[in-house]
Amino acid sequence: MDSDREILERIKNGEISAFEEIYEKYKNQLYRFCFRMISDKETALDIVQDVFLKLYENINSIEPNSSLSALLFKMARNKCLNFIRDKKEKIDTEQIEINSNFEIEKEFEIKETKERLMKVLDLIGDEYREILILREWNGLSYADIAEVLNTTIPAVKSKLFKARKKLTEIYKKLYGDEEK
Amino acid sequence: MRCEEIQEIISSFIDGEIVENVDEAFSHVFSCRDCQDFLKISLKFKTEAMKDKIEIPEIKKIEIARKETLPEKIKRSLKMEIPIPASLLSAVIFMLFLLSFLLGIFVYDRAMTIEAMKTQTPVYTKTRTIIVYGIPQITIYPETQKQK
Repeated sequence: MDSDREILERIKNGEISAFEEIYEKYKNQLYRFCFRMISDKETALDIVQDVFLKLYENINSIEPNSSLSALLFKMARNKCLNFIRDKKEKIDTEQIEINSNFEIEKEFEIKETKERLMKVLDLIGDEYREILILREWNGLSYADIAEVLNTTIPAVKSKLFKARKKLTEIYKKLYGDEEK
Repeated sequence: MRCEEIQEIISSFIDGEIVENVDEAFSHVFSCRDCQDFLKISLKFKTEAMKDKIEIPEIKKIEIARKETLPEKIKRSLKMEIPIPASLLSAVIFMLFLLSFLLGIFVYDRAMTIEAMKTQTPVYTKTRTIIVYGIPQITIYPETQKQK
């Protein structure tokens, strides 16, 4: 299979079918990221479509040495954050603390580990959620994450640690010592 | 080492990074409940994330096809659309109409001349176009042919 750079060159040379290769390669990864970021299937799909359309429109302005996956995730991230901002569905951890007693009682009903973790992911805040999804769901390297988030590799490392710490904190707050 | 530093090492270790003092960190984990929780929950989360293989559903593909497929969107984006103002469009249509009218007059005039030459009967031989306030007015001057 051709590398991203070769496929990009083919698209620039007018080979539209090469674009399908890029789409097939990244569509699920991007959808996974968007869906986990915004928890809305329809919008996640629309964002994925928009990202590819924008990529096609600006194909000639892409630098040959830049990472295509980082570029796609960066565009998807911006769109997801815009969507979240528009919907004003951001839940910060302060709110969890205020409602902690109620939440603990309610959340004990959720038995599935996966559901619990997804719930924690929803509550963790956009800043930590995006880095965890990029790392755990999409398996992006520190370097790629740094490019997506416009930051440095040590900053990514530190942020991931803080995100995991927050994750543990919220998980313990919601589910206590159960199922350890 | 403090728990904070230990957990930072564990975090990098979970990501597959080569880190120093791993042995020291793990020997601390055995005796520290908080660090154990950090490791356990972080690993649990990673495992669940790896199992969670979300893919674009088939239904979505049908919906895209029904609405507009990606290649269609791309093709649409490539189409050039030149907006023509309605006033300009009306002016062009009016001019075309006027032109066809004048052409009709000209053809009629020519036909009548030819006919006159054949039959030697008096016909209208001259027409004159006068423009009033930008609108062409056609005035026909009847003229009998001089008898020789």
